[in-house]
Amino acid sequence: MRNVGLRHAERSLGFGLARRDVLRTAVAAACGVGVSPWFGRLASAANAESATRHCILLWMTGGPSQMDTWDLKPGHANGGEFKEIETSVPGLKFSEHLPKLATMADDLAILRGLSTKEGDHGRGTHLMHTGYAPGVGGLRYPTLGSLVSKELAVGQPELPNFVSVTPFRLFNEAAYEPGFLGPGYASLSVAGQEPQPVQLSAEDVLNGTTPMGSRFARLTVDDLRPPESVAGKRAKSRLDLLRSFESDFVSTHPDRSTATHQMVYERAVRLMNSDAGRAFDLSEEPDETREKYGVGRFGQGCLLARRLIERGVPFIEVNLGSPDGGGVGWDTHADNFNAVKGLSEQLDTGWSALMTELKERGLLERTTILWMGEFGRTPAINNMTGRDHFPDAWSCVLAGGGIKGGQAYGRTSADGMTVEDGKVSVGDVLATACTALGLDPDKTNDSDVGRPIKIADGTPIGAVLR
Amino acid sequence: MRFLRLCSAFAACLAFAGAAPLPDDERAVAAKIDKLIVAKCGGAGVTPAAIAGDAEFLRRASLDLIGTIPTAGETREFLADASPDKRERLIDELLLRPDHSTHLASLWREDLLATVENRDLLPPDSLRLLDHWLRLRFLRNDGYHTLAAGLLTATGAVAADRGAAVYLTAHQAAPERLASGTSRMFLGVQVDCAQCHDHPFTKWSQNDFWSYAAVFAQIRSTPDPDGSMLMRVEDGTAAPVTILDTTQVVDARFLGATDAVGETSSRRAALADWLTAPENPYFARTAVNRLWAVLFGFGLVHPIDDFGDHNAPSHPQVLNLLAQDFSRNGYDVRRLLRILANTQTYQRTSHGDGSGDPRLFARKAVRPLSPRQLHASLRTAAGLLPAPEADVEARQFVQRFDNAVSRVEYQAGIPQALLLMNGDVVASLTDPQQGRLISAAADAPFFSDVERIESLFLATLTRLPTDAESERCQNLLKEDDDTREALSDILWALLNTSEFALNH
Repeated sequence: MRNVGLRHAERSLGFGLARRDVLRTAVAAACGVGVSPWFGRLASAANAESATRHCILLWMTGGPSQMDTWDLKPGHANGGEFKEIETSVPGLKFSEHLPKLATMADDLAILRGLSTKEGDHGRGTHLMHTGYAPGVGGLRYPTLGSLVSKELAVGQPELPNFVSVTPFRLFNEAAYEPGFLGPGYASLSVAGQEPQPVQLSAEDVLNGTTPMGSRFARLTVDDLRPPESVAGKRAKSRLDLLRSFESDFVSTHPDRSTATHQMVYERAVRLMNSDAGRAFDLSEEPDETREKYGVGRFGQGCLLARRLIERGVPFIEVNLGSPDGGGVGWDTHADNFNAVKGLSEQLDTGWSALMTELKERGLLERTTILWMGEFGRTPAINNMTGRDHFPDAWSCVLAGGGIKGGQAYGRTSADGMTVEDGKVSVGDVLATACTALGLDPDKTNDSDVGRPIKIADGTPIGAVLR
Repeated sequence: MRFLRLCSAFAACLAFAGAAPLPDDERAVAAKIDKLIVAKCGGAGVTPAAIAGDAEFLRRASLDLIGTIPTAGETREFLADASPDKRERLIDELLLRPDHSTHLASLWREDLLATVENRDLLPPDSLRLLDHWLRLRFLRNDGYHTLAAGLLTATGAVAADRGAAVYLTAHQAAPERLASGTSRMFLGVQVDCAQCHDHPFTKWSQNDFWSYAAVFAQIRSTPDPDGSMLMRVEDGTAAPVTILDTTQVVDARFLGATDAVGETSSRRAALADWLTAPENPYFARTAVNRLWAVLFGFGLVHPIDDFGDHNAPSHPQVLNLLAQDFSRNGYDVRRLLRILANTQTYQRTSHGDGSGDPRLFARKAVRPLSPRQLHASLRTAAGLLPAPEADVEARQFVQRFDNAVSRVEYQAGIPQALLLMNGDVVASLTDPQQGRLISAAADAPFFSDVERIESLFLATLTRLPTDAESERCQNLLKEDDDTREALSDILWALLNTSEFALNH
């Protein structure tokens, strides 16, 4: 524990990249030593250290129905049509559409007493991502991934510290941004396309060939590769030129901004050229593995999360339920049950495969998983067989590293309308996740107005912490 | 397009010929500032840096005053000019260009909307109108007080102030949001924290905050009857304002004032009068500190909207001197910028060993181009005019850099570096066939390789290549059968240097 604390102290001096490294580069540049450390010094330093704790945020855009996932009310008028099923933990029950997760209930802590105050998509998305309602105190609050990856990052990794898979930013842009921490803590965004159904022609059938199609969702990083016209040799010659143009300016202007620019370019170039960038190439995985996760964007995103964690990335956010997936996402004002059933299947498949494979690799105990959306949904079913926005009493889930699974913490009333026991706020949830990750939620960052802001403003829930 | 560019270069020449040297009274103020800055350096045992060379100065002045780098043609012309007052005339000329007003307008728009939630979702029309309104104000230069008053008292009922009304409606005409926004912008103080509790570091109490918020309690926004997405702003009966989570009703009171605002049909008109009265201690100081930061990155008070006993100015005498000059001269923005840009302090080199407190202003700071300056400079370098404000590509580019970019320290990350190296914008500007700069350099009759290389360096880095750089590029051009592809590689590398991405 003491070592961890020391490392934090060192890192807290930094701004995106550890300050000592930035200064080292600046000094080296000033002395004319290693003026262009591209590829050389840092390439050898890479991978020597990497984050030892990881966090995955499974984000449910639209606001998932607690009544039809983790906190069913069978027998009550609000209950709806889903049945409860037993899980691996006696007495703990989930929806019938989460059968695989039900077998892994020992790893899951369901928080059934979450209660918040924002019932608007934009405001709720901001609140749950940052811990604060938008605009409070005139600050630009950092998103969870920026806050946590800043703390967990170690050294100068080849991969970015915060990767966000198919984020749906439209509800509230600021909820996904690094805010006052600055763009150095921004996520690397992975875009996604749902699988395109493969049409087998008669010829394919006769020849036994499979046309080029996409059985699986395609996940891509913006601008990770140079345009095709600048292939191989030219790309290298461009970087050599760039390196040579940098040397004079860097030695006459060894300021922090210059050093940071150098460092960021080095890391970007390494990501482009090195093996690390292959982490994003899911075609390296056998088809059967890819299928285990589900072929859609969420499933493939979970697989990507596993690959990134294996390579030391501290924070990955995976989105499920953006409306362009063809359905209404989790915003089930109408036809709630069909929509939630479909989404649950994706969730169940992707998440359970992720936990299984992390466990097989000994990584689950070092990876804390947080499942949530912007709010819950009304217990009462409306006249379109839908459920509306409901922040008063809903559920989120914690799993994996540092979490005492196999329990439901908190209880809602028989009609699901109020929290009767174990009421928790968003701050409590985020503080719990931080503590599970070995972080001190009370640690502060200086905001852009010079006011120190805690990583998470709440009380860790002791009962779900190991 | 090429014709247009030539026209604008020609117009620039004419304006440059007519631009005036610095008037004596302004020269005296500039000299006083330099004296105070040098004195403080001396006290700290720091020797001020040498004056920058012409190319270094030209690039900096263009970025700071018109928001983009100079063209290769402008650079050649300026370097060739042997007259001793050419820097003074250049500053005057840049301040008279339409691009100057556009640049200030975009800076002010960003700051005015910094306290607005979800500003990326504001209708582009309204942003364009606000920009246009600000641009006109800076173009007319009829006093910073008219800008402030215009924003505060806008109704949107007449075409002339529809853009200004956007400022109020973007804050949803909500008293607490306008209290927070206007106090930062025009009074240089952050009272936001006092919204929920007495401010821990400053004298502002919760009562101060909500009393000031009550000044905006008469404002109503109503949909514009012409059916557009825009809103109008009217003054109605003031709703009572209570302190958050209490039932305590407060009277409307200006920030730091002791008396309540009297009976008036428009409290915001009264606010505008109070704010811009010569005896208001905050207004001029906040404004000149903002203008100082436009040229120096750091304000004399920094952050620029955090005045108070807890955050003393680095050079109180400079701040007072400038504030006095500003209010005595009709809050003349252009005069103030002209004085500052003519100081030796502004014209010092940024070369150094990276040490020293940047707030001594002993050496010109190295700071990032804003996303907007970067986009405009990429276009200028490639031979295009800066994109119009509403340009979709420009907006997306700026958004990819996030709005919260620091004006004093480079903070971009890997996604931004990838965007610049591999993204569409740079790819199209460096396209070997379509790129304008490459075509011009490749096709120019009688151009040698050396001259081609020079034109690329002048267009991007505002300087000639060193011998080593030139030689390296010549070898590349010799080795490559395809001149255009080799030029494309050189241009790509130049646009990705830290020298290009930083203001120095």
